[in-house]
Amino acid sequence: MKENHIYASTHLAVRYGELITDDEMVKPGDLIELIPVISGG
Amino acid sequence: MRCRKCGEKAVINMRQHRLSLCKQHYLEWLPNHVLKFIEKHEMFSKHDRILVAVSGGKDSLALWDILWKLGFHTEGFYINLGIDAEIAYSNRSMKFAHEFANKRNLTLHIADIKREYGESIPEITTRTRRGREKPCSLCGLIKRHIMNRFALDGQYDILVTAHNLDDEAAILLANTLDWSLEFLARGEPVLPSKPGFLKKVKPFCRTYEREAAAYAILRNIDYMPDECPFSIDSKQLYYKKYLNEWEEKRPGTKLRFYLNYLKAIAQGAFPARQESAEQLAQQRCPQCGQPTNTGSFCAFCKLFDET
Repeated sequence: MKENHIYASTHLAVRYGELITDDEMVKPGDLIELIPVISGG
Repeated sequence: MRCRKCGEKAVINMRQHRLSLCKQHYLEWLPNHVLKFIEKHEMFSKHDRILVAVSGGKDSLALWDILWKLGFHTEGFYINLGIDAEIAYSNRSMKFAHEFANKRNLTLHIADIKREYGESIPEITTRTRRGREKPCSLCGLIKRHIMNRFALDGQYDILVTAHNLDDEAAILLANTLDWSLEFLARGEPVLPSKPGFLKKVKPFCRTYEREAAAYAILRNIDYMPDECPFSIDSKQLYYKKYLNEWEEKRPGTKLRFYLNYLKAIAQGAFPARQESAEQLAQQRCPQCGQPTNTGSFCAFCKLFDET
């Protein structure tokens, strides 16, 4: 996320339907969905 | 990363609280966290009839779910703003709110501004200068008016909105940069009732937007994932961007900013304008009867009278 300039505080990461924390090791081929959590109010 | 309570695999790490939790303990922690805030600020009790303003988004549905799980007597209120070009924003949001209520056998009331007042938000924003320049401000004015009226007519005890910590910190930052003392005096999570106004509370005020989203995901709550098309250039998003940069470097920045502001209010840093009940009773809109300090028609009635 850092490499892509995405703040951990503004997104949640989901792998195959499960929330994962920002220290989780991901493997090549893993499908990670980044869900934005900041809305315009 | 491991859950601090049980050592199982964590699903969320909250750097601002130095706390990581597994699914089970997170779903216990957040409702307790919210309940403590409700109790600390004496927002409401199990005896109150509570109207929850819902948008179909993650915050309002997560909050309604928490209040329902905690055993509060709640009903929902959705305002169909008629923002349906391109992504069918309002219709889809309403569907999420409706499905949420149906699954839990909860009552959802719906107001439709096009049907009740003749114009949708896109139509009003096109017609009026304020709408063209500040669509979110105009939408906020309309929603506050309709919510207050519906809640008073329905004789609810409390009106609950799902403003979260990120919302409040962004508003606080904007008001501080402008030194808007009048608004700074009104930023508390509880706005007491007064003639013409129902008591309004914000139980999510110290809950991060990310925490609300994580709760919604873990509880399998389907919510509207898209942003309102009008909010793309909103002032609030502009300030949130800066707050998120600071939060990234110094976790807890938003929380400290907001909680220390509440302490400052409690210490009298921003005295609120005092109006007697008599004054408020006299300052009524001759058309709708809601309180106003314009001296004539309220801003809401003026808006629709322009047609």
